[in-house]
Amino acid sequence: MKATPDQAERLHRFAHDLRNRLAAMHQAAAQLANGESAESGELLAFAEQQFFKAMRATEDLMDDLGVERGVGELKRERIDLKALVQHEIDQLAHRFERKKQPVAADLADDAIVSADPHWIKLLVTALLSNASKFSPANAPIQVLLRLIDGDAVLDVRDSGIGVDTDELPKVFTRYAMLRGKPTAGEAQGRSTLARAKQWAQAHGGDLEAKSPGAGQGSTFTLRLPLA
Amino acid sequence: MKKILIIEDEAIISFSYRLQMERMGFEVTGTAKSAEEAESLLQAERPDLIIMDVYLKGPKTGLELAQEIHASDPLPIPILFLTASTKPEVVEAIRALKGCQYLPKPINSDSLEDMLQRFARE
Repeated sequence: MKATPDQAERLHRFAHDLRNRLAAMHQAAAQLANGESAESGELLAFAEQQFFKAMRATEDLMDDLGVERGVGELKRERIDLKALVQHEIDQLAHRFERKKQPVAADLADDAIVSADPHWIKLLVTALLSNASKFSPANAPIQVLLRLIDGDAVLDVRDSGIGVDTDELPKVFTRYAMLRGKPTAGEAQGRSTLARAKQWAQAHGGDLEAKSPGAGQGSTFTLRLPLA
Repeated sequence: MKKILIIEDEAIISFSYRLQMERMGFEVTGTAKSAEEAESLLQAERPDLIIMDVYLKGPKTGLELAQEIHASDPLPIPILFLTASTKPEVVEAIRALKGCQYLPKPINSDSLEDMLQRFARE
């Protein structure tokens, strides 16, 4: 199969961008191997920046070429969201305990949704994990599940680093460069929240982020229609 | 759950997984680059969990190996696929294997630890 002229041009630009990023990462790695320890932090940050840009370019290419990255066929079943959320909080106990972050959960009964448990578990885990990563040690995390206007509404509130207003829309962009960093050197997925929003929307719901600003915590709100 | 077998055809990626898992307190019992290598390691020792790439060097893919393991064992070893593939059909094939999970590459060490802890608990 041969690419059309437009596709060939798009691939050419992508390959050019990718080669530049890879060359930059190679350069940073070579300098690190030379033991330039004073600049090692900067070199690593530079390599990470190049990595995110290369990943972003890959995502853009896939979007431009219309490559399907959906969730496939949903295997829906009736899920008690209260039990699922509590279970996922327990599953992440190692993370909360390590940073001594108290988790307060106030979960409504009867939050029954028709959803695919595989994606909903990943979604809830992503929100809990995000709250822990971007909050300092001892910072409390609140998890609130309510029934509002025919939806199950799950708020995950943290008192962590927050997000500046100008960066809020980028929170759900894959591999966007954001100023905020995890507080204990945790890895930055930088695509998980974008995927989480996709999973929510595939279920007829949505995922939104709010923050009063940097240093003032964040709230991620998941809405799923009640069964 | 402590013993893990890694099946990954890129040596540097396999090495990185091993380092991360050992730091997390898990024991990596072996690493294989192909389905065939994995089969001989599996005959020598049964791990508690297999970490596997979807595409491997050699004629057999990771998915095919996993399907064989599941077809031949009534209590199959759980498998965590670490894959760069985002194809819905790959995800669906993994989900069709009971007790198997996947994480999309690039793997971040926190998500990996969350998943390993989940396997250790369940």
